[in-house]
Amino acid sequence: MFTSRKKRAVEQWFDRQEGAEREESACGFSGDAELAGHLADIRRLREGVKAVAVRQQIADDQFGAFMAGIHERLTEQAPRRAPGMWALASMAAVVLLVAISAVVVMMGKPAGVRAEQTEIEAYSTEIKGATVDAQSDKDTATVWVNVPAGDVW
Amino acid sequence: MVTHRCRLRRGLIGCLTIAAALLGLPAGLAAQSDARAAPEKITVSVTALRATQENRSEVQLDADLEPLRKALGSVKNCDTFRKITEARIDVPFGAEKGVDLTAHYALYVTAVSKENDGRVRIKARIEECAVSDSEKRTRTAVSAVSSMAPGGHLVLAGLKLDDAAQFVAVLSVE
Repeated sequence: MFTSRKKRAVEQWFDRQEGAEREESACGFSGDAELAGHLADIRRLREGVKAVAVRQQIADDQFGAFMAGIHERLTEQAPRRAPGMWALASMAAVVLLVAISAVVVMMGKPAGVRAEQTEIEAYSTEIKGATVDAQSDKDTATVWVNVPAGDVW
Repeated sequence: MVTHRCRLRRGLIGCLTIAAALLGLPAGLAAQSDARAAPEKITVSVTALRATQENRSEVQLDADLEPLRKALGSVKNCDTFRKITEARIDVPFGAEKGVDLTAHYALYVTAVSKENDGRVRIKARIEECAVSDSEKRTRTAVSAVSSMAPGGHLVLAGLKLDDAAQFVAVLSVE
């Protein structure tokens, strides 16, 4: 608390003093390392602020070089950029994704081993008392009607 | 500003070109796939046979029936096969076409669908007809729905041809 108050007093004192007078008086703080360090910090901070506050100006003898620099940049060709490249790439990616999905959906399921087999899915007869058997080999399906003896129609 | 517009226009044209190409590709593939998956019609070959049991040591066939030897191996209790007739019928999908095989038996084939795996689903029906008292009667002797593999055979057997022989029909989709 006490140290903080002393530091504030030093800051106020620093801002009130001017130039050489301040430098002479500052020697009085050399005995206190903490205050001397704080004083150095304030000095560095104030000098930084002062440097920023100073506006740069172009003197008359610098103006020709300044304008020459501007002309040089104006005549310089702008670096080639492709502003639509990312839009184009992202759109192409979306279209490609849709196209691949469409191909996958439209091509359907791959043919399996069943593709080589002839199969019987349903069978029937109108012959009274007859039974029907069916069997499937690899490439032959057979439907066999067992007609009862004495089938009269 | 003009240059920027030009670039935008070129980018847009490029996008549309790529989109058209990429959307045209699956459309073309789909059209090709559809053409492959659903032809307008199928051709069914049918061979009508007279099958008998003559107690032979091995199955005897007419010379031109040799390609059917393996398929006829599934016909029970018969060892001799003679060809009655053969026919080829063009069947549009969704339609039924018929052909007379004997005086009593006629074959009717419906092309149901073509599957993604290349097989063709057909409905085959053998109608038996009889004439008595100048009245013609028919009944379905046998009916079957089959998924036919390319080169596969559907054998319809067991029907009476006469007292000593059976009627066999062998179908294949070309």
